[in-house]
Amino acid sequence: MAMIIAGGMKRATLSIFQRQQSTAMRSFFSYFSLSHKVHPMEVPHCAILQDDILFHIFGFITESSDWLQCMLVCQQWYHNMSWSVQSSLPSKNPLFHMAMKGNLKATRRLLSLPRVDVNGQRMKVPLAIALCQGHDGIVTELVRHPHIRLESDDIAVAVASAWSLGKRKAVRAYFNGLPPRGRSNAFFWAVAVNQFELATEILQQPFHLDERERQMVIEKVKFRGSRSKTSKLTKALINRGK
Amino acid sequence: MASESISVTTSDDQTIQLSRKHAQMSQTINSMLEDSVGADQEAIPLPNVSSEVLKKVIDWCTHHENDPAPVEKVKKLNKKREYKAKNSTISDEWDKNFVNAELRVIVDILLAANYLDVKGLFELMCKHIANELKGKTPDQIRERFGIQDDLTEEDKAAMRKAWGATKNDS
Repeated sequence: MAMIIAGGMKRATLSIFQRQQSTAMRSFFSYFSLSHKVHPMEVPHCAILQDDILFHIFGFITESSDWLQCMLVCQQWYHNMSWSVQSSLPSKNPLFHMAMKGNLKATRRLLSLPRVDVNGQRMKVPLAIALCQGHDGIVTELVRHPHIRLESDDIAVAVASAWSLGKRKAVRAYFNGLPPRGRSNAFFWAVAVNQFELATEILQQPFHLDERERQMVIEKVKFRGSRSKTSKLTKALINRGK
Repeated sequence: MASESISVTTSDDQTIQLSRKHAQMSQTINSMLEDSVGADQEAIPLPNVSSEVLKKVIDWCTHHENDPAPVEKVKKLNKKREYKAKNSTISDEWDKNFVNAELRVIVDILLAANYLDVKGLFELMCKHIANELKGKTPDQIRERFGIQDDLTEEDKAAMRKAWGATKNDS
């Protein structure tokens, strides 16, 4: 029994000693790795931030202008900030954040970086966010990007939500950037889900709608919703046939 | 049966009693306690933490003792906000008052939270320092943190070229 207790104590003491020793060594080396950067008379204590702590702090800095300011502080901050930014790029979190905040400059910069994979399905998320927040500049940038392939079906619900939220400029920016085939898909989707006002808006954009399709939509609209809601779309469809 | 309070010795040789619940909010102390089960209840030495800072840490632990564990919190957040970037907003009014201190004290608490592995407190301090950095120029940051500029003009020009604004940006 005594041997077990003694063994436990020894293990505990050793564990505490190892923990303290490793922390002390870390502090020792981090102090000397930084001490050459610090003015001896100015609070050097504040500058003793180890790389792992700096990395964590920088994770909370999401504005690209702040990234640059931190990188320009010193070598250690530059390495940690660029590591922090680069490691978060594949997840596209900075892009989501910038799209949400409407930061066009940062969005352009992120889209130009090779580590941002613009071909994935997750690209519809920043676009949906920008649409619903009404950031038309960002919507234009994302839709017109040569490598982003988006079908209108992927984003249809976000377009309808943005339209009902009154983000008309953003929705128009989206349709301006879509190819005619995408507009056509979006139009038929809007009719199918009774989004007549949105369908009328899409109808202002150039896309192919043949006579048979036009008549079919007019017939469909007749049996859907109240007359006041469908009259604008019916008029627009009739005008398109002239 | 384990006692309800734990003794710790700080870097300035003060012995402080803290409740087992608060002690277990620190992963470092918790693992030390687990390692020393069955051993004599000696004061746990914390050579990297001063008594002043430890009292601050205990204050924070007291206020947050009923918070859900960090892992549960993340799971709950992920259901709704899985694609949001890290949010640096400090929403708790008490926390806002807590971080309203000198930078020296903030950095001491941050280092202590890192050493003691108190996740919530560490996050709070990192958020506060990140908020301090936002909108500041490199010169202002260097002055605030007492850091010497060791970058050459060429380094800075290269960084500005890679990360700075372009003329076409609005």
